[in-house]
Amino acid sequence: MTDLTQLQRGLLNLMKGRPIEAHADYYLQRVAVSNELLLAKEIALWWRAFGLETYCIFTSRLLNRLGIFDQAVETFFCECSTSPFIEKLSQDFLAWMSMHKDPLVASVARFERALIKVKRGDSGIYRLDWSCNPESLLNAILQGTGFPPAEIHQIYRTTISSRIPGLVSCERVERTKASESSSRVGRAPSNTVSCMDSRHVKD
Amino acid sequence: MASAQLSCARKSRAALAASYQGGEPALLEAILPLVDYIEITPDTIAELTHDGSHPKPDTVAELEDIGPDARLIAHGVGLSIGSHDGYSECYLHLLDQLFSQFDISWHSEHLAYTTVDGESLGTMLALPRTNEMLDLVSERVLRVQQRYGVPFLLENVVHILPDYDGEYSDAAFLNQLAANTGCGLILDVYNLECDAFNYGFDIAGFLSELNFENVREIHLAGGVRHRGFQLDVHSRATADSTLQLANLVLAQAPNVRAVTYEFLREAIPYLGQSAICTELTRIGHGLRS
Repeated sequence: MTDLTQLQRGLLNLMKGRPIEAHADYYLQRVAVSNELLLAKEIALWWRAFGLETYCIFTSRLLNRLGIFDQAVETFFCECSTSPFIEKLSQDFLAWMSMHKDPLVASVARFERALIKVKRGDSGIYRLDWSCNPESLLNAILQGTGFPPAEIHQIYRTTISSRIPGLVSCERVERTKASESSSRVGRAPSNTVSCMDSRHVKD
Repeated sequence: MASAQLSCARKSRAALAASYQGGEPALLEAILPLVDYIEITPDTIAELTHDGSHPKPDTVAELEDIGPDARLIAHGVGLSIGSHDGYSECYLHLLDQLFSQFDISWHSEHLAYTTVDGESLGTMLALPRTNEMLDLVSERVLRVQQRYGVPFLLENVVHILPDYDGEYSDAAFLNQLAANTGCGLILDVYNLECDAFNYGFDIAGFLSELNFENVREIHLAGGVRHRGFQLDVHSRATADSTLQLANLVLAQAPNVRAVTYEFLREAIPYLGQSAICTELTRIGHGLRS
């Protein structure tokens, strides 16, 4: 390995908040404790955040509302290999947020990821079940108003596909019938809003 | 007196350029009468699709509409010419498409790297000025020049991280790179000011060592201070000090073809179309007076 390779890998690790080798050279050790490194990381995160806020409107606004957006972007940037292309960056971010422990965050990220894919020409059909009215929920996210309550006896089934006018359709389904037709992966109805099931139906 | 006239004659040869990243047709219409060149950033006007990155059709249409009103120059951010593991073929494919669609007078990149082992740094880092890096970049510059057959320029970037001790000074590295390859240089005078403010970079010493024959373009911009650092964000009008520095360079650099005012697309709402035009007029007046 050349000096250049070691140097650039060391700086990448520092930018990503990863540890550097204990016997790293003096320069890397100097950078590791510098204010300049903090600034460089801040600039990198600012650009990622700016792009994601522009491109992933629902998810970023929800995360901001929950007060976890900046931390989410930083963790994503540090843990994942990020693309300079916003189209790829946003898909990777939404895929990553789709696994978030908060089912509301995961649901909105899954929905937005499917919507962006379909908008960009993906021919797949994506289905997500919600325990509350998703239109009201998404409006609430955009407008900063209260979330709609979860409904006990029915679910809202959204289908996202380029074959649908407007790309998204929604139907109300009785919860018992929905259970028969879908293998639920989400949690049972509760006071929190959650997506109960998200499936890529077929290409 | 003779010297002053010579200086004015040199100044008059430099054309005026402005950055434009698409999606602002009213702005483009407003700035076209003021400039000779439009600088596009291939990465910024591109979108990623299932088969790679391509210029956005809407932006292509806008650029086609420019017609004879101005010429195009391309200024990339994604080549990552100094990455130890190779530069970005993806960027070059994008550039291939632009060269096949437009008559691009010259193209340029930053003397920097943005990826390591294919992973994005999230920002642009300056190159270590070592013999290893000089050899690596020189070979790549020669390949890029061979590929497109138009002038290729490299730009000095701000030093965000502490400087790495290399075998060359900043100016000596640029001089040697140009000597090795015949490439031209973009001198971003705002970046020089950022470096001077942030860590006491010696601009006068740099300029006294730089071979001005290699400077083909000057970049102007304005930015903000944050946490005690002057940032290279291209979000403001050009400071008087930046313009004065540009004129100082211009008076000594005989081969400058354009002076480019750069502003981020994200800064347009803040700057405003009117202020951008005013700024271009001010810079143009300064160049031609």
